[in-house]
Amino acid sequence: MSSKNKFWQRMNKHGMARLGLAILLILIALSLLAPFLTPYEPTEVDLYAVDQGPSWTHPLGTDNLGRDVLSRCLYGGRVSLSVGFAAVGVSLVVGILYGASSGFVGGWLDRILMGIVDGLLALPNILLVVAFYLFLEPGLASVVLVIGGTSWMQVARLVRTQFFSLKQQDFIQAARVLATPNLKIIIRHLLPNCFVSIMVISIINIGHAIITESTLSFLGLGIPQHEPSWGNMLMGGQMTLLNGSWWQTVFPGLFIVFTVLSINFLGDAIRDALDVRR
Amino acid sequence: MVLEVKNLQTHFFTPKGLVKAVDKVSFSLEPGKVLGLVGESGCGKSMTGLSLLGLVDPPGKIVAGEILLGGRNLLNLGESDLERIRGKEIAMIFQDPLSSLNPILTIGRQITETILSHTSMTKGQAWEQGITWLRRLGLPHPEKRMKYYPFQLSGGMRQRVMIATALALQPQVLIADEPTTALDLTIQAQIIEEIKLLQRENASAIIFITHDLGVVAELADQVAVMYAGSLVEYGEVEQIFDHPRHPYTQALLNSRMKLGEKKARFIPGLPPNLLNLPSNQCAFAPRCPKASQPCWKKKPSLIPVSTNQQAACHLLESQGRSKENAVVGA
Amino acid sequence: MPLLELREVSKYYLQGQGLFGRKKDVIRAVDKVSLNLNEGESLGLVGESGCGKSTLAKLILKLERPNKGQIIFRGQDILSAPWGVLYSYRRQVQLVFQDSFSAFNPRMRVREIMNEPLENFYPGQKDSYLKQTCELLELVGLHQNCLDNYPHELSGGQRQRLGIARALVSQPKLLICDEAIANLDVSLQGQMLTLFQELKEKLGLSYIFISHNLPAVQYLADKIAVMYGGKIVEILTREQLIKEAKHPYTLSLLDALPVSHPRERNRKRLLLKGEACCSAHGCRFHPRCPEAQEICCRDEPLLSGEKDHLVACHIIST
Repeated sequence: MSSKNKFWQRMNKHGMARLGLAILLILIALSLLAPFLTPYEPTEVDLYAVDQGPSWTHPLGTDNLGRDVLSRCLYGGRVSLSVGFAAVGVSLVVGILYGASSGFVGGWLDRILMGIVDGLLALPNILLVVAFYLFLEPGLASVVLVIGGTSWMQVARLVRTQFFSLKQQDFIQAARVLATPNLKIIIRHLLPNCFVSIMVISIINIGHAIITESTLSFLGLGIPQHEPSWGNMLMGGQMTLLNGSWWQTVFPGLFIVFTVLSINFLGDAIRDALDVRR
Repeated sequence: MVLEVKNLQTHFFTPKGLVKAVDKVSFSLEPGKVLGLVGESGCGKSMTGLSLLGLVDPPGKIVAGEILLGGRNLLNLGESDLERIRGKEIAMIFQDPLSSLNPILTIGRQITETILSHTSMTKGQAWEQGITWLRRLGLPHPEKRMKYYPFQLSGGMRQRVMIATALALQPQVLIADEPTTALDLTIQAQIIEEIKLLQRENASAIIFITHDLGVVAELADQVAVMYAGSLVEYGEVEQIFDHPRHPYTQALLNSRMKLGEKKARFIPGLPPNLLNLPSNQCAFAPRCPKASQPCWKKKPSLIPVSTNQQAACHLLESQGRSKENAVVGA
Repeated sequence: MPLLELREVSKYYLQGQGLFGRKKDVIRAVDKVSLNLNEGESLGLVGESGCGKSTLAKLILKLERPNKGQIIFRGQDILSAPWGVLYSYRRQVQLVFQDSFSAFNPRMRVREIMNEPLENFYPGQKDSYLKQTCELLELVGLHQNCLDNYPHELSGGQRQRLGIARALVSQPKLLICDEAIANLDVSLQGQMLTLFQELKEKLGLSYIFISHNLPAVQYLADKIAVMYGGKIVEILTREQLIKEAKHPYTLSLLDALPVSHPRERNRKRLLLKGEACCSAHGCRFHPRCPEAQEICCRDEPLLSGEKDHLVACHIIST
């Protein structure tokens, strides 16, 4: 059986995979189909219905401006999910290129590159964020860039360390003796064997990205309040939590939890399905 | 008789089927003697050693047999009793000393801890004991070495530390699982000579597990040859080397590379997969140059072929019978 | 013209801190090794851990660069060679590993493992790859039905054969076997040695067979070089190894071989003292040598002797 078929067969058997995939697909579908699922606009203010708990007219309640929480959650999903995946995508591209170069070449290049990374990691995140915003306007694209731009260092470190340890393995020496060109060694031998750890860190980072977005929104640097995202809903609802309006934070929070959980399940399943030794 | 093993059976119940890792193995050990347990990888020799210590992990289980240490059956003992016996009365050392030693403790600390946990000595006495044993094993400057960490020692030194730790408690039985396989030839030779010296003064019986017949020739008083989980030949070392009776033993002895050999001899084929091994035939039959009809019908059991020698082979049974017939007929 | 010539090849490693003027320890992994190998000849490289034989193999294969010395293959200097010469060198000199498990990318199947050198050495001839793979597998005694297996699904012996098949793709002239039979069972070792012998006869291969297993080396190699502490201490033929070995280290290696029958076990032995170590001055072996004298501590002995048999020892040469 070809490895592709085997992969899907294993994924199918894995209970977690199906659960994770199902949840994720539902969440994505909900976000995409948002206009059809709710009569309210996410920005529709209704000052007669401020801070109302879940009811028949507003299944998930309303926030402090009378906006429907359900529709904000659904539309917010678009923002949060795309920020999550896109930011991690950016960090992967930059991190892998950087870490692979440093790890493969080694020597003085590695020392310089890793020195830079260590320096950046030592700085408090907030400084880096502020530095980014000297050049960027708040908005969806800039949030993606900022989050990606502050999380690539971890990926680079990881890839570089994996490359260093893999380089000493016999099969890499074998590839060199067999006259395999360097680029092919990186692509065929080194990167695929890093895949598992890269994936694990990506999964963790998606959750982080979504939450970081909320912090940025809170600081006024992310998505402006009237456009919903799960993150800024969390932040916005903080104040009213003390008044007992739990629905304004719990529901977006649940959406985040389910997203991160489903990605985790999927990630576990992919990792197991790709493990050639089982 | 310090140790008697009777019909030991250790089976592994895996999802893919049954693996009889140790299949009705019996042998006995006298104080101060060395038993060489020989076989290729996967024959069950290591598992036999682990079974004696009760260190078989699921899905493996000791399903039958008796392990009589000083008259007591170890299989009837609970875990807490076994813990007291392990180390004190029956000890084991393994092939890779680096993974048996705790990397963050000095070796002095590890030796003394082991001694203290099984005896009522003081710390100072245990320390002195440690030094004495290290010196006996030929480790130079033992007082200094006690303060070293494992990574500061070479492979040979570490293995000596393991042997010293094991012997310091004067166990009745020491099981050594391929202790010299990973070591350099000259270091192996040193350790073998040291063990020989110790055996003269020490009363511990040793089960030396190895695939190297040369080491067996150096050390063993008795030899037990294993194949696919069962004992195929068992007897005094000189007899086994002079008159091996089982075709597998003969092939093993034949396939040793000696200096000046003109042709490399080997046993064709591979050892069988123990998974769901058919129990109604001799496991060696597929590779045996002398296999005949009865070998494929029934598994042979150990029969005496001369004084102090047993082998499990149908060929020998029929030879034995024809000898009897010859006597009767005369 | 010899096939391979090593002239005073040396590789040093620095250990220890270099900052603030603290002294760095120099580890001389390979120290001024000179060797010649003729076409069709097999060389056995014997020694124990830390003697430098594996490092020497890496230097010959250009996996590491020597600090000093020259490596000359068929008259051409490999170390300063342009890429074209290096590519041709790789074609002619190949390697079989000790640990067959880590010698392969665990994510690649047999078919892909064999395709790698095929693509490198026969680019553009994709249609012939399968045929070549099957021929080579048959040559080493592997069946075609393992093409879709992963390395961990093969037995140790099968993996070792795969390693040999992979090394033979480029039709090399010289095969370097680094402890290629060390991790195998006794019965498999015999099979593998027979295979090496057959390949030598069929394909006219030269070997550099690195091992600490003396009988195996003696079986395969025409010429044997004994290494200690990064230096070659004796070079002799396979016949000379049995009866005429002269260097104290070689003699101790021979003595360390286990006996073949229990009645020989109480023979007198000349065991070496101490661990594998080498001194920084004079003869590397002198701290452990039973024959050591004052001159051994001062001066390094050089290889000297008759045509086939060279020894580096002050005591023996006089």
